[in-house]
Amino acid sequence: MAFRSNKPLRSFGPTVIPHGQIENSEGNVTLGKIDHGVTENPYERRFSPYDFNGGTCIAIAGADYAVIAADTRLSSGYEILSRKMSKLHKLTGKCILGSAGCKTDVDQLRSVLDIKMKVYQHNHRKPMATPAVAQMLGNTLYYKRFFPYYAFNVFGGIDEEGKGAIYSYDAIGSFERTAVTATGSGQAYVIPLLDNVIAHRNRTDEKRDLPKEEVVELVKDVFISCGERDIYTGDQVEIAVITKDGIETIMFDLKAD
Amino acid sequence: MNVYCPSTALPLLLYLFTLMGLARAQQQDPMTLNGGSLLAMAGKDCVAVAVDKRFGSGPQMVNIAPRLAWTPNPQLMVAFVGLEGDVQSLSQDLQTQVRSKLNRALGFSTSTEEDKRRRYISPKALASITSHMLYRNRGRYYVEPLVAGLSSSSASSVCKPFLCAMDMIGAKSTSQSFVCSGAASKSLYGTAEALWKPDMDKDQLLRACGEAFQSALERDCLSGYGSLVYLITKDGITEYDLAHRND
Repeated sequence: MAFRSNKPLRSFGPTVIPHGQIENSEGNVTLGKIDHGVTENPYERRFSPYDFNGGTCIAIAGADYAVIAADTRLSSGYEILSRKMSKLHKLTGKCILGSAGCKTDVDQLRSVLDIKMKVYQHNHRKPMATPAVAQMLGNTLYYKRFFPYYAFNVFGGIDEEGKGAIYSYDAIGSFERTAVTATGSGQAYVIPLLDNVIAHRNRTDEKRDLPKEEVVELVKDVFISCGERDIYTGDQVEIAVITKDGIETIMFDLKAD
Repeated sequence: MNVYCPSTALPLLLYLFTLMGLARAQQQDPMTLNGGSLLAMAGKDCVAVAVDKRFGSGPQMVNIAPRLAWTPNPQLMVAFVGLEGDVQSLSQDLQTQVRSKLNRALGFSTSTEEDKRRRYISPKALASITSHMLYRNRGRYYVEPLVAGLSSSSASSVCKPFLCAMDMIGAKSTSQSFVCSGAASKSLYGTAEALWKPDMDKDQLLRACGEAFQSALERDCLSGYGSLVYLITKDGITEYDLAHRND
């Protein structure tokens, strides 16, 4: 039997061609990608300057301590870029900035803050106090109001009276001093849990001041729960406990899936 | 590297300003338009189902009425959340379907206790019927139902908890711990994951379910205005009205 032609029939819409290639209706072919182009929008033409690199940061203020914790996973789309990328950044001996969002914006923000703090140190001959750093971070973010840093921050430390102080931010510098906060991809999973367990909302038992060791154990539990449900959270948790004596860092392993 | 360069910033700025300038009425997601949330948790031989009471239209609250829950028998409950019109439609449809199947198979009589007990549908069967009904109408019901109950085998008196949540086209997801649906589902996943423990007794389960539900509802604008927790045990269903913020 003779065939008139051996060209495959032209069909409409995405055609699945063997060998892992997918051709969409625009005629573009995605070659051999493990996700078969599923995470790509075939009609997107605009370049987006932002990417979301995932992760969750939480912060808890105590009577004389502050705890800041963040996971160490760096991802992009469905891929993991690094399992050991720290989201915490020490600004002075008494305060730490935790940021989730677009890693490149976070790095630039940290650079800018470090420079400003150095200048302050040179001008005033002392390191910046925690509430002052908090205000400066808010101002720095608002400077870029019309092309924001894609950075979701939590900032925590010890204030001048020795009490724990944590602040939560949005991407354009609105901030507030709170008792507990969380940000990043796991924010929705984690904030109501912190409300219940640490801020003692909707509980009928007695409210008590939690010692920092207990808070650290709670933070580990919180990250285990968050890691279960959020794909961008996992690998390891870096927990920093800030007291007037300094900063203690604890690493805790999470599931790597 | 920081990508701030004027040539890419300008189109972005113009795009942002255009969005802000046009007062466009955006189509709201039908699943979250009316709000509402559900949580079901399993304990030792008992199940707790928490429903909220907010019925709204976007940001506006319309009525304070608990989410619809149907109890075909004293150890089984199916609760619905989503677009309220579809919730009412689907629940009526489901009740009619189940009743007509039982009538066809077992007759119409419900006069004796034995007759009533013969008409008890198992949780797995109810979940199946609901799933098939959603898939048959593929994508037209914006409802995410939740089936929760105790499946007792006639041989033993042990009641195994059964929990099953479904998406709007009927994909079942059963769990031994908890299931949740609705506008606050992300927050509910967070709190329930942490507060659930295996083998909780009735009081512990009520507390865990209630606390997880309330904490999650406080962080969601589209759910709230009160909550009811139904505790299902082999003795029947008890309703608890929880006290909390009325928003």
